[in-house]
This record gives sequence, structure tokens and C-alpha cells, in this order.
Amino acid sequence: MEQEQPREVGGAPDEKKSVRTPQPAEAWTALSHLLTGILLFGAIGWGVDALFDLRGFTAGGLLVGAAASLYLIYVRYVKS
Amino acid sequence: MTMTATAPAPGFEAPGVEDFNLPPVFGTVTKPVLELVLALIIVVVLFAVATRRMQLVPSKGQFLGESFHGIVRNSIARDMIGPEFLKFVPFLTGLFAFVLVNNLFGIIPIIQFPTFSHPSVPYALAGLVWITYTVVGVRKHGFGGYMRISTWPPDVPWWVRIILTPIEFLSNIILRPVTLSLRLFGNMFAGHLLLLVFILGGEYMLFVADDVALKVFSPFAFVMGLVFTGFEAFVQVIQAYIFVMLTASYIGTVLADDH
Repeated sequence: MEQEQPREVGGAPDEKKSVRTPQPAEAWTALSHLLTGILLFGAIGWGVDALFDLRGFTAGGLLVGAAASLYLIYVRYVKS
Repeated sequence: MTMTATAPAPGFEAPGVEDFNLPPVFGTVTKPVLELVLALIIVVVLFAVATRRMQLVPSKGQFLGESFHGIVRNSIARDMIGPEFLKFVPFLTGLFAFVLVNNLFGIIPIIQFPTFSHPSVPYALAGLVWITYTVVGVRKHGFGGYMRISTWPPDVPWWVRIILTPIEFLSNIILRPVTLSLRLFGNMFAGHLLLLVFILGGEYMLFVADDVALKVFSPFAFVMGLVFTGFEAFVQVIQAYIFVMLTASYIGTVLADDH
């Protein structure tokens, strides 16, 4: 990790590009991840609310989903 | 008084989803089915003509065919897929031509119905694309490797993975073909609806409405219809390009080594 990071920040873009060009599909995939996370955990929260007659899990699920999606996009496309 | 004079004329009914459910031509065969067959014939015949009697100095037809092939080969396949792009060029070229012809059906006189404005048609096409890149990915990395690339975020603790993997699985494996097809469907559906509104609206203003002012202004509706027909031509080409570009990009993504 320590050795790789300066290389990536420095003159490595060209070298990296030759290995793997950035894909336009990744933009759509990131958007898809974002919506999927919000909808998936929002739906789970809604299900918990409806099943146990509670309130608040829908909103919580939406927020957790949004945070998880953003983190997933960070892990996939920023960190690596 | 002039306002009440419009009362006898029937009100304008805006075009809607029911305008896309055309009656069967014969049996269970509908107009979109015939269009799909026609598109297939057009694509096959055009490429057959373009590639017949290939010469070093190309004829006009051969030149057009080669240019089309060149666009897909150089600006789609090679950029998106990388070193192994050549074997996907025929598939992508055929896909591009097929989608393009079907889209352009939307503005070709007499036919005038974009096949992909019925969601089931792009679903089928996206299903084909899904099978293609899944098979390509499984062949390259094995089933486990393909699933790891698609649903296994690197360098995260296991309890985070419990949250992230379902999102990636749903997004990458299940929803990707849906978004691919809905993008094409939505554009074709909305474009056709837009043209219907202007043309049918203009027709209503000119022939059905009692108000003289509406008759006078009806040419504007037709002019707008023509303007949007040109705009639709642009959208139809762009959407065919995007569909094929994303297909190539998905293939490129599953072919890429771990990143």
C-alpha cells in the first residue's frame, strides 16, 4: 500500500490506462449502485416497520442504504 | 359566445399508452413483430450487398459498410473492451445495425413505429446481452471468479461485506439488464409519444375543433412535429450507439482483471 500510492498519484495514469481504460459503464453502475442501495435497505426497513408495526425503520433503512451505496462506490472506484 | 361554440366538438384525447397496443395484423402477429423481421432482413441484405465482391478499392456500398464496421470496431469495441476486442466486433456491429434500424423505424414514413417502444422487445435484447457478458465473464474467470469481481468488494471487513454484497449483487447481476433495456425503451416510448402529441394534436386542431383560432394555429403543431422528428432521428441514433457502447463496456468490465 505504502509503495503503490505515490506511484498512482504521480506519473502512473498513463501506465494504468494501458492496463485498463476507464469504462463509461462505471458511471451507470455507480448510479445503479446508489439507487439499489437506497431502495434495497429502504424496502427492508419498510418491511420491518410493516411486520412489527413500528415506525422509523423505513427512514433508517433509506439512510443506511444511501450510506452503504456511497461507501460501495468509494471502495470500488475511488480507493482501488 | 364563441367559447361555448366549441362545446359540440369532442374534446381532444391526449395520446397515451393505449396507442402503443396495436391490433394484431394476423393471428398473434403484431406490427412490432413484423418490424423485427423486416429489420433483420434489412440488416442481412445491406451487409450482404456491402460485402459482396470485396475489392481493395471499395465500391460505395462496401465503403459505407466498412465505415460502419470501423466505427464499431475502433470507437466502441477497441476502446471499451481492450486487447481481446476483435472477437466481439461482429456481435456488436450486428447489434448496432439491428437496434439502429429498429429505432429509425420510428420516423420512417408508413412504418412510423419504434419497435423498442414496447418494453418486452428491449428486455429480450438486454437478456441476450446479459447472457453474453455473463458467459464471457464465467469463461474468463470461472463462476467463482466472475461472482467475486461482480459482488465481492475488495479490502473491506466481513461485516461491511454483508451490507455491500447484496447491493452489488442486485445492482450488477439482476438490475443491469433492466436498466439497459429501460433506457432504450424509455427514449423510444417518450419520443414516439411526443410525435403523437404534436401530429394528432395538430390534426385535431385543424379538422375536429370548431374554433377558428385553433385551425389557424394548427400549422405550428405540424411544424413542431417535423422539428421533433428531426430531433428523434438524433435520439434514435444516439440511443442505438449508447446501447452498443454499454454492451461493449459491460463485456470489457467482466473481462478486466481484478482492480
